[in-house]
Amino acid sequence: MKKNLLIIDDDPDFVYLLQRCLRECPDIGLVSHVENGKEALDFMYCSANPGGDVVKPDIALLDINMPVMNGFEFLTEYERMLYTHPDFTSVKFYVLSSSDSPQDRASMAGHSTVQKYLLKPIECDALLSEIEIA
Amino acid sequence: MFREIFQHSPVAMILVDKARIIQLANTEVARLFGYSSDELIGKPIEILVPLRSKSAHPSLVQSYLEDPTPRAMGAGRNLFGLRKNGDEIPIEVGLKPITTPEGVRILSSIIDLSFRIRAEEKFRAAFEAAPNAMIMVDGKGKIVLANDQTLQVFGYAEDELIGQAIEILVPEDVRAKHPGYVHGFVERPAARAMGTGRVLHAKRKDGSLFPVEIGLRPFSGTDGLYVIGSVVDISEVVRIRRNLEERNEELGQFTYRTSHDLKAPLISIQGLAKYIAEDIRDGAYAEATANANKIVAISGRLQSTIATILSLMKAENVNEEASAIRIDAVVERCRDNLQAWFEDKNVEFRTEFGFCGEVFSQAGRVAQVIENLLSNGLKYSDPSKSVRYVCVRAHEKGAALEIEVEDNGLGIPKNRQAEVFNIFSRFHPQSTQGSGLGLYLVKKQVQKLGGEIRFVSTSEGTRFTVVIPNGWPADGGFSKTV
Repeated sequence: MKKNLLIIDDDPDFVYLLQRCLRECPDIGLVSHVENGKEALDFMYCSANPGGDVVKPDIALLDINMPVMNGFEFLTEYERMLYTHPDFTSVKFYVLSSSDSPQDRASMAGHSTVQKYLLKPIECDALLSEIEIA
Repeated sequence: MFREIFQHSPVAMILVDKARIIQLANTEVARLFGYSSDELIGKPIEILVPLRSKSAHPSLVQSYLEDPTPRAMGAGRNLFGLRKNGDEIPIEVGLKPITTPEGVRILSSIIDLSFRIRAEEKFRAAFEAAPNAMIMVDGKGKIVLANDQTLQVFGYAEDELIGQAIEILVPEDVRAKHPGYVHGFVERPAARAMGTGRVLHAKRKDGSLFPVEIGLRPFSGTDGLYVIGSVVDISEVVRIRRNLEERNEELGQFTYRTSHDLKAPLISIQGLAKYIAEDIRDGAYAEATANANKIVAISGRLQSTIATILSLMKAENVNEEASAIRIDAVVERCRDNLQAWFEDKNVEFRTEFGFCGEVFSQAGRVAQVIENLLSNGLKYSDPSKSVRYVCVRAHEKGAALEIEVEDNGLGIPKNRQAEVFNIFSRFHPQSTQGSGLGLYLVKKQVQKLGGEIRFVSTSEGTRFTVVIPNGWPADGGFSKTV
């Protein structure tokens, strides 16, 4: 079954390249995009609604430094939601950030929903081999 | 026969009677004191005693006669003899009573100490003249000698050190263990450096510590083992080494980050070029054109990043000649360079010059500071404000020039303000234009100009204030004014 994917990132050039890269992968279904953590939270709420037209993603690629709500703030809020809303099923998050700081890596390692911490820039083939699509 | 031996003995000998009259004086005595033997015989012994001791001498002889045992004269004191020409010579005198048919006589042997004293003086002079602090301790670790350098470096007077345990100069945390070290050294003495591989510290009288390098050398005296230590203050070496380590660390970080920052746009360009080829193949010309434009924009940013890196290298390594510059002209030129950007971003450019005279400084560096601050004002202008501006002010402050660059832009987040001048600091994730090098470069340039930079920033905007000395930093013009 094809996996649906959500990109949470504010850099339009990077998002465009990601979308074109993912388009080539036969195992990836729907690719959606939001620009910050706040929009991502709204997206998750809508997708949790069984009657809604927003498809729940299986995988999310998450940037850290974003305006309005950054990647850390988003994850904290999202994981809180996971506990309080029984309908919520977890999404596999892949952090995709240009920050190589040990603090950022350590903070992300503390989130149970985060699968991997990947460093930008990343080439298309490398990205596809890192995320578990199958 | 006895007389012959006495006369030609290599030791200076003299025989006096109870009335202190010289009965015999051998040739060595005569030579030592510059008389002929005949001149001495029949004279009181005080002829050979320095003036200051002459009056006390008869009673000393008297008390010796009351308890005549073989012994050294003047135990514990430095003795001197008086030569015929008035010179004094350091001597050691041995006394022995002899009973003769004519009564008790005192036989004295006199040893010239000039040679020994000269050797000791030479040692002391070398010890004093040593360029390092030199300290001599005995086998128990008590200080017996400390040269002038030691007193200066440690801040003690000589009598405060002599007789003290060497631990007085050792930091508290090592004090307890130190006598053990001294003992270990005395047990297995060898010339060596102390604490190899570690930075040692010494303690001044005022309690302050400083890093030292210590060389130790043992030597045997007549009364046991002594250790001479040379102490070199290596504060400067340590400071330079730390500075180098920091610079090295900075360079490593810089290389890592720049290679990352150069790689990112290249990967984007590579991806976009690949998609352009696909789009042309598929006839999607509009998308191909859009992607080509993206490549243009990305390579433009890449170019400006490289230009900033080059400026940084130049800021570090190339010193330009100072010349007379007019600040209003420099600001105008900077604005002209950014003209298109001002229009594009719809940001007003304002100036308030309270000073338009000439200042003596490095034009290139000043221009780079101003252009970077102006472009920051543009990059981080606040789109939610209807009127956006960047304002440059310049006025005299003492002998220095104060330049302010103020904007009503987004401001620097309060919790990140301490990092403003750090390398690769970016505060606005929504702006992809920043290389994180601009303010780092500005700070470097201001430092090279001998100036200072500070800022105030709120959500209402940011104001940078740069103070640049009028003249070379070496002239002291700056320190007088700020």
